[in-house]
Amino acid sequence: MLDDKDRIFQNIYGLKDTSLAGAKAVGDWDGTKDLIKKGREWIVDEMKASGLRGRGGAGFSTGMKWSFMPKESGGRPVFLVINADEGEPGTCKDREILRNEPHKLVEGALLASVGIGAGAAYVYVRGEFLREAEALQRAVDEAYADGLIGKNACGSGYDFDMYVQLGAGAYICGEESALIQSLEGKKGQPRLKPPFPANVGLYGCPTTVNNVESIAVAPTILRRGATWFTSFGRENNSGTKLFCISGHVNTPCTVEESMSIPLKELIETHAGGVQGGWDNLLAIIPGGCSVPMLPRNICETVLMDFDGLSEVKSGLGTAAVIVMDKSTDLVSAIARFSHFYSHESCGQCTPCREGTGWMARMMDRMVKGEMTIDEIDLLEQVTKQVEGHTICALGDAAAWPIQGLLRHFRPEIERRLENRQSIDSGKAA
Amino acid sequence: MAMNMIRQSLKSFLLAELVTGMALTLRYMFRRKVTLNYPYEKGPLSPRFRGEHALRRYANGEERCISCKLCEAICPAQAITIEGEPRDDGSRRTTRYDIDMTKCIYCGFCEEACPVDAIVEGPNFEYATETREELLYNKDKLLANGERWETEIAARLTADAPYR
Amino acid sequence: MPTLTIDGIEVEVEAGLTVLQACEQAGIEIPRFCYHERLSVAGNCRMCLVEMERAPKPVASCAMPVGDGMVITTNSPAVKKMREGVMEFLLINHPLDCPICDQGGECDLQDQALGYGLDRSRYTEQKRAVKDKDLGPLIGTEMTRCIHCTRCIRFSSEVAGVPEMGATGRGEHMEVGTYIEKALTSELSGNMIDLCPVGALTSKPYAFSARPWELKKTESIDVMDAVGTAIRVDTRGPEVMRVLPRLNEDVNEEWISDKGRFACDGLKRQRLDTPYVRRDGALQPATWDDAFAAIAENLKGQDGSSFAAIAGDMACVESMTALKNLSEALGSNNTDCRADGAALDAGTRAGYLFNTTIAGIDDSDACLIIGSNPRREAPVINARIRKRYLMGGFKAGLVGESVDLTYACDNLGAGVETLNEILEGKHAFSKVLKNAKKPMLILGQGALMRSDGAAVLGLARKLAEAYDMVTDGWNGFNVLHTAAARVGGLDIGFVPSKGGLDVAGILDGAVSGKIKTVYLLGADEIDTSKLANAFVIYQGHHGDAGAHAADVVLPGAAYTEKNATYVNTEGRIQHTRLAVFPPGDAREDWTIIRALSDVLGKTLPCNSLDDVRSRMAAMNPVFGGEELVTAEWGTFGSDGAIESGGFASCIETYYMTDPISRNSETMARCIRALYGDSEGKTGTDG
Repeated sequence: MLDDKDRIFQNIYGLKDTSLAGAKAVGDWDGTKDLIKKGREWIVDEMKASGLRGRGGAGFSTGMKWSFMPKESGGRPVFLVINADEGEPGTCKDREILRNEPHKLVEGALLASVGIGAGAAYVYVRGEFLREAEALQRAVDEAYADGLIGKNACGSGYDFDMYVQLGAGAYICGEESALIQSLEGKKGQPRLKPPFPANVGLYGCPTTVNNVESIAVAPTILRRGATWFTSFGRENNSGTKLFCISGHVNTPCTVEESMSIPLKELIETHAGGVQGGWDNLLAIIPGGCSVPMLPRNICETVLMDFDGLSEVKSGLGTAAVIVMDKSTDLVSAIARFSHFYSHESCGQCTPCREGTGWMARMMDRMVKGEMTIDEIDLLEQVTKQVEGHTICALGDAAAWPIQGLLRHFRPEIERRLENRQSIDSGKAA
Repeated sequence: MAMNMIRQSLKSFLLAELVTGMALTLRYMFRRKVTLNYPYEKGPLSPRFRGEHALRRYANGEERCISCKLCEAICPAQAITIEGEPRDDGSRRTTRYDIDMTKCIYCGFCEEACPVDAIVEGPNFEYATETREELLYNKDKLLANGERWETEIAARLTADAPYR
Repeated sequence: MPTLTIDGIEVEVEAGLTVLQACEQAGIEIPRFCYHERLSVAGNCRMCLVEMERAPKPVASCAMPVGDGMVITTNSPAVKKMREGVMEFLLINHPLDCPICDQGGECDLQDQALGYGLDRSRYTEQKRAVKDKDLGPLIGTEMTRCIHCTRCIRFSSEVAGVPEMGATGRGEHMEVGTYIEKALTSELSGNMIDLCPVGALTSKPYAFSARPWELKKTESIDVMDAVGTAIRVDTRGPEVMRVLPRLNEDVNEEWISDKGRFACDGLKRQRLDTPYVRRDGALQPATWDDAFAAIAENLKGQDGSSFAAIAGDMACVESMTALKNLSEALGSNNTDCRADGAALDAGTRAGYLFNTTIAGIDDSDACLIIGSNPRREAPVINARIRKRYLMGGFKAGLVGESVDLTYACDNLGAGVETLNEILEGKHAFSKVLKNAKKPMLILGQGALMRSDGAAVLGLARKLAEAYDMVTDGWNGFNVLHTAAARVGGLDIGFVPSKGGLDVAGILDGAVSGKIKTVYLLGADEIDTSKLANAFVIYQGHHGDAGAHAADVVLPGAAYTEKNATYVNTEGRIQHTRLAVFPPGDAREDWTIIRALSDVLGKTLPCNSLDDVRSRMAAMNPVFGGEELVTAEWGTFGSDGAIESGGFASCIETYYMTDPISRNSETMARCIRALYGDSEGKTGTDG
């Protein structure tokens, strides 16, 4: 259970003033000039030491990502790109940051840019977040007006510009290289890696792409120190995280909590517990619809961090906790996810383009019960054929929910199909 | 040894083998005959019997053959010659479909190869002609065959389908 | 040079190669659909996945650059399963079209499904279907078959330089097409048919007509332009079914222009298959003896100087040799192969060749184009220039009419004034040429066809010398020809000798009566109205302008019907091969002249093709030597005055420039599609 004084986001619910003045009142922009003056090396080392892992879903060490940037760019400009696409279903944390604490993002962008040697940052906000983008733009304008960014940002001598760009409704543009393509005005289709964005990114220049939350927590980490950040959570899973709890809970919410908090505690303390009590729980998806679900017995004891969840064959992802009680038709829910992936696939590579459609159609038949038992094995094989063979992770993301369903609820599915078949044969007779 | 000689001579003079042979013939004279009085009586044919070729159509009248040239390629005797082009409605059809029935070895490979059951070997084997030219079948002749024999061909295909 | 291990085999390869290319070098086959050597890497079919040590996921070998010490596995059960998986995915939405698809028999999908796929389908859901797009009269589309490899898109934007193909829609609903339905405008669009690994893009003129296994393939050379593209002529019996490009890295890489590919249906129409003799004002079919007798009758008592011969744009070197020798035997010096009147100087070989060679374009860093539209005159060479442009560090400038060449090319001016400015160093482009290490210039027939053509040639030579275009190991002076016969004719000396008349002189002489007999060797691009008074002998393969004006018509063979020599614009000596026999009574061209020489009592001393070729080598040693030799520099062109007036390209309509393409229905459809019905420029109008 996190104390309020340990929370990074002091105004995440927007109850206080969200303008520059309000931001300064909760501690933003405090001593930024000194932080910049401490230099690029110090910033990167401090971020590495803090153990912050990317908050966009992949969980890659942010400090290490920043250290991949070339020391000398050879004349090419360097860019920071902030991923505010927030497309993962169930996730609603970046939107709160953009709406209510945008200055954390602006200050974070400045410090991160110093850390990677970038002269400009582009924030790619999903097209549906029109108001959130406006709020962010207001914050950016306020920062420019106050001399906090722009030429000689905060009086430190570092020149830094920030731009807000809207997307146009594609989940795939949340993938870093597709996002870069979209920023460049091309079709949002992921690039092949290698070369990585650190070498060839936006307009062919060295680029780092980070999630909104990762950037927004950077100033506080640098101010309060890496050691403070590591005091929360287990080793290699340090710090605090915004959890978005939705579904069949009594008070769904977005809350900042310590990493490695037990899932049960998270839900019961902050979301008012599962509707109908803990025993009414059927399954939980702990990190946005892309990660495999967990049945109740695992949810009893699992800890909410990257390692804890990967040990039970799931993942922390974006920490979007989707709670499903016994009234849920899980097959229907996963079928809905499959349709989502089929719709959002960019169509570039064969397994995702064809495979997501096949999986969605098979899930539809499973919902109606028009499937034989051995076709369940076929479905599992199809997911294995898609997983790992695609250009980007959307293929994996499409395969995992179905694998989670089959791994933990296979007997129920088989019973469902047998029942349906016996109804059908009963009808025929 | 002397008995043998006597036996042999008796057989020889009394024409013993002749009697045995004729007795056999006499026996058969009273048995049911297997001879068929062709053409008034004909032997049974299997539905798989391979006879005169025909080009079939669909129920709505559209010709089945789509000029895929698989039959031409598989024919061991290179008896089939095909030329094709787009028809006025844009579909793929043959302009020439010739089977040289004097080259054909009646193996049925063309029927097996055809993906749409267009070329089939029908049950007809009574199509002898007086000139060689008449045995060089063209598309019109084959389609006409198809019309004439369709009912029987369709029945044969239905009968044999479970085994194909 | 990095060394890597593939399936236990160690290979050392150049740095910068991909794993797939390294596997190819090691002799290991990797299946692929989207990868193509001449296009950028897409990596989206996922068929080339291989296992790499220390990589968590399999890698796309077409995109992974080689690294020292890599360990690659391509033959493990896991890789086998991956290939089966990807193949299965490709086939789930692919229609069951093999019997009606033209690609059957030469389809990458069929071959790789057989080699790497499963033996049965497990898909029982609905398949998606896609509406077909109209891409013009050349490319037929069945977009349901498309596997979205994006080769056509990359070809269109990279090689052809017209970004007309793209993909709209996302995921399963992705559709490849032009979006705005219109015919493709590139002259290289037919190459997309070869690139498409499935039957989504097919040849419309060839649709449904043949299967690859029944075609006889003959390797030959294209003569529809002067590039000398290597082709493969596919025939079935006596009919040419289609023409495909062959690989030749030095000339055409893998490409062929649309005219060379599709004009072959003109080989079936308006063919001369019997000799004709004009009696009572009309051409009547005759026998060879009749025709030769008519010629002999006409030439009886004539002085050699009243006989003239003009070689057309598709004449082979053998027939030009025979005709030149016959003309000399008759006492005539009036022979000319420059039917368009271009002021080409046969004296210095380097003065009429594309000296840089097509492959040499890859090394150039600046190019000045004078009076030429390479995009229309030699699309394959234009593609090579574009390829060089894409590599970077290449500047191109054009003097003449402003055209879109598919690469950045500044229009420096219209005519001679600009050239003089450049020569004097006053033009901005002068500095470009001065600073370039390997500058080149391309001089088109359009600039040489003018009355001041010789002066233009001379000025171009001065430009080349002024900017050090001719140095050791580099010759940047290039004449771009449009006729396949031209360089061969110049090489064999089919030009007026010792006071003989050139084409203009011959035609004027025919009008005035000075020239009584004109022998047209496939020459149709001349003004035949001037021949009304003369006795015209036309030897060719199509009933075009020349035959209409003739008194005796001798049927010859087209390029697919003879073993003949053609010299391309680079001076490369190549041979066509007989793929089908000429129709009816038509014969190989040099044999006709040899037979005629007998009747005229001036029997030529060659009785076989070898004899003719020995004769060719005797007349010019270049015919007995290497395929391509460097020509020595010399002086050519005159110092005369050049009229003002902009340079123009010599080709107005790309699709109809010779008897074969004029008789081609496909070419006619192209003109209608691109220029509308109103334009009637077909060359045989009137």
